[in-house]
This record gives sequence, C-alpha cells and structure tokens, in this order.
Amino acid sequence: MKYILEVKNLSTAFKLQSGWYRATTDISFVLKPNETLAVVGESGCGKSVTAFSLMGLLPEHGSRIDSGSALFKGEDLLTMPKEKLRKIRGSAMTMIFQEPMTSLNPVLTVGSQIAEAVFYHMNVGKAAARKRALELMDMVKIPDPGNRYNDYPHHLSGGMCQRIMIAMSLACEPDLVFADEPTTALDVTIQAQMIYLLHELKEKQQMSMVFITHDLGVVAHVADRVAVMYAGNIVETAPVADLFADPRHPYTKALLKSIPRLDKDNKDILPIQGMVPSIDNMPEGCRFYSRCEKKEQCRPDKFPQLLPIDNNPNHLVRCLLCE
Amino acid sequence: MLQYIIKRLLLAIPILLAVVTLVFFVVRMAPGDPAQVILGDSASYESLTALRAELGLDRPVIVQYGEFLVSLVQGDLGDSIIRKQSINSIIADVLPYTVELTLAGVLLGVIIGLPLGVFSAVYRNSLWDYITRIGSLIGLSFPAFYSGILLLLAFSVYLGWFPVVSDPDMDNLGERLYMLVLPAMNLGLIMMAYVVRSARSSLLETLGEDYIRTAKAKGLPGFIILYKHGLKNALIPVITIIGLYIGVLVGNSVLTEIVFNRPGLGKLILSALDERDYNLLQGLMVIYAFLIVLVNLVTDLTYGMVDPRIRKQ
Repeated sequence: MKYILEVKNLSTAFKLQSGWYRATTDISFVLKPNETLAVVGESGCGKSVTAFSLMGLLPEHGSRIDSGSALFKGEDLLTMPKEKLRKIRGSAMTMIFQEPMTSLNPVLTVGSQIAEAVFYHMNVGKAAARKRALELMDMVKIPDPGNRYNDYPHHLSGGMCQRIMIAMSLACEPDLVFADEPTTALDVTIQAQMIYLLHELKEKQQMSMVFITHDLGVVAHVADRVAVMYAGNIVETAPVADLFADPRHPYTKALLKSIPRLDKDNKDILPIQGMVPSIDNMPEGCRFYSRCEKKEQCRPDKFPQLLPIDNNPNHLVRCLLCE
Repeated sequence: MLQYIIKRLLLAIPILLAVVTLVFFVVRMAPGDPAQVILGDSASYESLTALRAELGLDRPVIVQYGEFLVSLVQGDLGDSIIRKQSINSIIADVLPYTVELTLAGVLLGVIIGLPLGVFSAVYRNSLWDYITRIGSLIGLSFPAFYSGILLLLAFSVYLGWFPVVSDPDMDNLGERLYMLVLPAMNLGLIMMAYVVRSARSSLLETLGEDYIRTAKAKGLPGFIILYKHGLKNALIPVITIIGLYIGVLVGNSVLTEIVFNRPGLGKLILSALDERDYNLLQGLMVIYAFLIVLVNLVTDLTYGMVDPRIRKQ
C-alpha cells in the first residue's frame, strides 16, 4: 500500500444565513504509512474542518461535503455507509482534540473512557478492556494508573487529561491519528513533553499522523512533510526541510518571517498586512492577492492551481508567479 | 455525608422560624374572628368574649406567639380551635394522601416527560418536536384547577371511566389507586411539561459539548453517546428543575384536592381558612415549609449521585 490516506479535491461547505459557503476548497494531499504531515495555517483557514470532514464529525445540520474523495487504505471515507465509518473511527483512524479538559466527559471516570474505546471496537469483555486501558495509561506515562483509573477528569491537570486523550486515541492501535492542535491549550512547559510523547508513540506504533497546528516551531520537531493552508486552500506543500529552507509561496515566506526569535534582534519581524478574506466574500482569483507583497507583478482575476515547482513532485505551490 | 445532612437540617430551622412567624402574624391580621365563626352571627358580645378567653385569644399576641413557639419546639402543633382535636393527629390523618398524590404526580411527570424531552431533542425541529413543545407549553399554561375540571369532563363525564363524585374506601388499595389516577394525572401534566422543556434544552446543550464530539470520534454507537455520555450530563439541570417544581406541585396539590374532592392537606387548609382556625393554619404552614425544605435536601443529595464534581465537596 503506497498511501494510507489519499485526499482529492475535498470541499466542505457550511450554511450561513445568506446561503452555503465553502470553508475549504479542493483540498488534496496524500499520506504515506508512518509519515507525519503537519497542516499549518492561521485560525479559520480550514485545518480542523478538513480533519472533521474526513472523520465524519461535521455537524449534522448546516454542513456538507461538496466534492472530493478521501481514500483511507483504499476505501472512500466520504461515501462509505455511516456504520462502516463509525467502526473505523476510534479504531483504525482516531483524533486528539485541542481542549483536553472539555473533551473528556466530566461524569465518567477517565479509565472507563479509555476502556470504552477498546470495548466497542475490539470485541473483548469489560475486564480485558479495563486491563488494556491500564496498559495504555502506563504507556502515556500516567503515574500509578491503578489509582488514576477511577479518577474523574476534574481531578487531573490539563496535561494529564491530554495524556488520557492520547491513550484513548491509541487504544485500538490506529493506522492514522489526527492531532488537532493537541498542545494549544496546555502550558508551554507541558507542550514539549506532549509533543515528544506523541512523536515517540508514533514511532513505536508505526502509525501515520496528521498534525494540525499554527505553531511553526512545533512543525519542525514533529513533521516529515508540511501543508500550508490559507483561506480554505492548501497553498504550499513540501518536505519539512525544504519548506523551511526554501519557501516559495509568498504566504509561507511571510509566515516564516513573522516568527519572533529569541536568538536574534526582533526588529525585522514582519506582520502580514491586511486581513484574511471572509468565507462569504472570497475573491474569484488568488485568495492571497490583496495581502501579497508582489501583487503589482500579478493579476487578481485568475485562480492559481497547486502545481509542482522546479519539476519537484514533492514540492507543490499554488501561486501564479511561481508557475 | 451524615454531617452534611445534619448541617442542612439545622439550616432549615431559621427558614422554618421565618415562615412560622410570618404565618402567625398574617393569619391574625386577616379579618374575621374564630369565636364569631363558632358561635354564629347572632352571638352576644358576652358569649363572644367568654369564648375568646377560653380559646386564649384575649391575651396579648406576643404571649400567644411565645406559647406557640414553645410547643412547636416540643413537636406539638397545638389543638385546633374549631375541631377541639390535636393538630398533629389531624394532619397525620391526611398527610399520606397529599404525599402519595404529589409523589404520583412527580413520578408520572418524570416517567413521561423525560423520554419525551429526549425524543424532542434528538428529533429537534421535526413535526413531533413541535407537537411535543406546543403540548408542554399548554401544560404549563393551564392552571391546575382548570386542567382538573377538563380531566373530569373528559374521563368522568364523557368517557365515564372514573366517578365524578364518590366516597371511596381508602383502606382498599385497589380503590385507593383507582381514585389516584385522575388527580395524579392532573399534577403529572404540570410536572411533565416542566420536565420535557428542561430535558430538551439541557440535552441539546449537552449534545453540543466537546466530550460528545470525543465520544463520536471514538466511534461509539449512537445510543451509547446519547444515553451514557449525553443524558447523564443533561440530567443535572433537570434534577434542579424537578426539585424546584415539586414545591410548585405541592401548591397545585391544594387545588387538585379541592377539584377532585380528595382528602389531604389542601382540603384541610381551605376549611382552616374558612373557619379562621388560626392554630390549624399555622400547623399546616409549618408542615408545608418542612416538606419544601425536605425536597430541597433530597434534590441536593441527588446531585451528588449524578455529578462526581459535587460529590467530593
């Protein structure tokens, strides 16, 4: 199997008062076994929407998938029966969320919430599910799992809750994990621990990961490849070293320039001028045009395609000036 | 836990004292005179004065109040002015009827209301949801005495399933339950309306929570998500509403007892008012206040059973 996940032209629309609008347009990417793809972009660019679309977790009312296909181990997630998707979800394909404290059920013990994932997917009894949950808690380095099993989420810190979430997502040895900004809600000191833990477990379990983040510093640590998103599109995708060494899309360049650094004088931090176009007022042509520093050399009316640059099939850019 | 219950019961004392004091003085401020009621309109001034002295009503109000409090602390509600009988025993005779009526009403309301509320939330904005919501709104809007009369008209007069007026043998369990059906339905409809509305909105809110999304992401079957993850959380505010409206139900049980001509505290309170039976009225108010305090306590203890975050404190 060459790819674990193959997404083509995925577009997801939401219903606003004045009609349906696309939050993401023509998202295409592939993921190899044991590979980590970081999806980067600012809030509202469609990172999470993409993951939710693939997981089948979009709200039932007011959202729909307009087009595209998403082959997970050769089967299309978007057209398969709901019941089949449910069985894949939580076992072969799982997700870690941004807010560990609110993502755990406050009235159930943390151990039982892990055991539940095992119980409903692995065809084992309650006792075996409990045993597996304890193993998993040990694996994500929760001290004294035997006692912690019966704790409720409010007894644990945010970092501990996120470890529980990670344990839950690894319960059935998945092939693919979506990590949706798993460190954003945590203390900075815990963030690094959590990223190392995820990375270590990913290597141990031989799984693929889609790591959604807006933190480029995290990307350099965890990712094999990066996809940069802007206003519902992937604008550039490349192996992580290439992207940092040779960014080609003006947005990626601007993004990298806007990172503050501790080891340099930060006088030359450059914020990106202007605002992201809103979902109900997307320009026909390039969506970055109004903020692009090279717009004088470009034209506003043509929509660019995601194309290889320098004949390198691993480095794709959506920019008219690069074509 | 025991300590908590004792603390709560001790806290009830000032509440009871305030209620009792208020009732004691308000009753005496109301126009009318028990001696006049007993002796009739044609009684002479001398006989009225004599009776008042006999009943102890000629003494200063503050002395009467003190005596009342002293006997109350001893658990004695005093004697009825009119019935010449211990109020404790008068109330003990009819209290079970009111308690069984209220409990049956609550039970009926919860048993029917909770599934309807869940149904309404799951199929929100469907035709059935609208019907349920409009139905519960009607239930909320009908005063108990009016819905009681409608129930009597429908089930007793037209359908003839229940007698309109009867003198049932309350020692016969079957007959007693049979006579409970319509009045319990009357109270149950009110409770049901509150439960449906609160269960619906609470469950809808819960279903939007992050942990429901987690449960979905885990690939759990839909009914497990709804009942294990959704309903258990959604129940917490519903319990508050149920506890709160048991109080309202106790009030409505008065009207229901009168409409259905059932024995109980409600009928007793009406005749005590008519007869200006100060002592009986006071005694009844103490019992009512105590019932409400008790219900609130039970409600608080129920939270702990459902919500582990409250249990620990």
